[in-house]
Amino acid sequence: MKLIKKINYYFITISILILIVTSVITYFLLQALILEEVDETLLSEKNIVVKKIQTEDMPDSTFYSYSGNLELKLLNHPSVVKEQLIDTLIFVEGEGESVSFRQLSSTVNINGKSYLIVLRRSLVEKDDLVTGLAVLMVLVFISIIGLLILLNYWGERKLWKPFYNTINKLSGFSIKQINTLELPQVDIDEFNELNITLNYLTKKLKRDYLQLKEFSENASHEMQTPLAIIRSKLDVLIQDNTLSEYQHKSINSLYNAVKRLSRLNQSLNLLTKIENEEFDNKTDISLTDLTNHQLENLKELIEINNLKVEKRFLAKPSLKLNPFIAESLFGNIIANAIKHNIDGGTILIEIDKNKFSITNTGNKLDVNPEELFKRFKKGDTSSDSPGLGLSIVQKICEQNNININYTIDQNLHTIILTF
Amino acid sequence: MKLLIIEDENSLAESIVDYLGKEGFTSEIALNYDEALFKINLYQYDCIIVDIMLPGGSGLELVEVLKKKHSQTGIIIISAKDALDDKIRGLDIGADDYLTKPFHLPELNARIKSIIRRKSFEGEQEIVIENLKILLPAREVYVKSNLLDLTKKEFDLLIFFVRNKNRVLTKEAIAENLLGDHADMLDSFNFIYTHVKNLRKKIIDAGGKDHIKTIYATGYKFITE
Repeated sequence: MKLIKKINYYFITISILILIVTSVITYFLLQALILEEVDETLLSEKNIVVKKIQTEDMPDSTFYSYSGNLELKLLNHPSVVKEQLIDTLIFVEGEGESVSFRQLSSTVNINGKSYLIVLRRSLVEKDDLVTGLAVLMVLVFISIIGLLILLNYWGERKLWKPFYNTINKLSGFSIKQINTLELPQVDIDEFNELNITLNYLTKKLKRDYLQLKEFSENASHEMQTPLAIIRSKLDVLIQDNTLSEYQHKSINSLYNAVKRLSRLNQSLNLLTKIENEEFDNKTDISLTDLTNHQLENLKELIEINNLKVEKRFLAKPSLKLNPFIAESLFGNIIANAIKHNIDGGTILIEIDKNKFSITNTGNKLDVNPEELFKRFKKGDTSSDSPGLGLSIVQKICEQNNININYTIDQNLHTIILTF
Repeated sequence: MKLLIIEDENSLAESIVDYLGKEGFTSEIALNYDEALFKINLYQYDCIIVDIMLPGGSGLELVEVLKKKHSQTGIIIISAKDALDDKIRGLDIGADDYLTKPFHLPELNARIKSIIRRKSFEGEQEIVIENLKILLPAREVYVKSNLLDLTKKEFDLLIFFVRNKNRVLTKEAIAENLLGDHADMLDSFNFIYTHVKNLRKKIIDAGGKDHIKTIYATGYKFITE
């Protein structure tokens, strides 16, 4: 739910409540005021009548009778002076219905005679009042809604504009871009604060990213150089004709250690680069061409292991990939199928419109194939490979929207890429 | 043959000089950018081996300077940075080859020789070792005028041996020479063993001498008299 709608929702609920409460209060207040007013009028009319009686004795009956609102009666016996105000319903011929009246009955003694004066006033105003109030309430409510619609429209277009601008810019923000996120100053404090914070945050992110990138590059560089020194010294050392078999064996172990370390370093470096999405110049890569090319490169290794390769190219799909990344991906997968094969085994490569699958014979594995995608996880723990090949494959797939699935059925290993 | 090795790690530079010295190269060392620039401007070299990250400047800039001055000089970039961009850029501005650290000295040696051969008109077109004759442009090998039927890999292997004759070559260096990056993906020693065996057999069958000696645990050596 949009913030503005939420606010509207609360606002309207509260408005309705307030409107109802104030209407009720106003109703009762006005009613009391009207009654008071009517009562006062009745009392002052009574005084006029009393004065009239005092001066003219008993006025002739037609004097006030036309309205039917005054009844004057001469009482036969003297009575106690009293006054009574009541609400009453009287049927009015003209209106055809009963109308509520305020009635003042008062007994007065004038010149030794007792009179009963009854005065009435219609209370039609009270009913009108309820209708009036209801109409007023609806009018106020409609204007509030109208105002809200206007406010929302204006708010959406003007007030929230900086916010949507910020969101837009943020969604287009990439940590790898050279230019920083420059959010402008706006005249709404909250959004301004948001922009300032985001500017700061993205700058910091970018700086941290660059530092990290630089660090990993430097770390790799700093590690490769000593390795290069060790290897070059070994290359020189090994030329010594006086070396014993035992010494050769030791040197060989050193070579292997250097190789492992260097390989590990290169793989980690590649993984970092893929993670940082540093390979972005993508071109259309023909999958069948790439597969043929890789098989050609690895031809001798296939021959030496007496492997039979079967290709089933049902379509000629192309993938949008960086060429180096494409080679890493398919090179790794195909090399794995050779490396983890058995002597005289087979490799079946199937390429369809949106599928690449490779099945190879191999040894049964105790581990779950999904585990092999984890870094440093190896099917054969004695192998001196760092166990990063499938991690690299997975990372590449992840970043290029390729789905990868690895299954093992008895001694058949299958990797399926769908794209 | 005169070489300039521009490398800030002195002990690595020394190893290179040491190894290449026995191949008949005279090498000089420049440990930083300024020293390298000075030497490039003053002397002429047949081949220059240059690191990218140098104290005082970038090796790529040196390549550009060198290209303007002596276009005939061979250039090999050696860098710990496996950055593809650097590689492409280096080759774009005129470097002849690119080696990523840590490399094998026999590999560097073989590449220097191949570049020098390509660069100069009077460079060796054929190599003759006793009764073995290799025609480089045609990629043909003769033993006592018998043409050997070698596969591409066997020929490459022979060239690598010949370029590093009388030196011990590790199986690893051979694997990297023959398979490039793929050497990393596979346990390739079987592969090397088979190829060496086949090459040896083909030379002997044609009446040649057995030049290739196995060095226990380490690798092979191509021996000439």
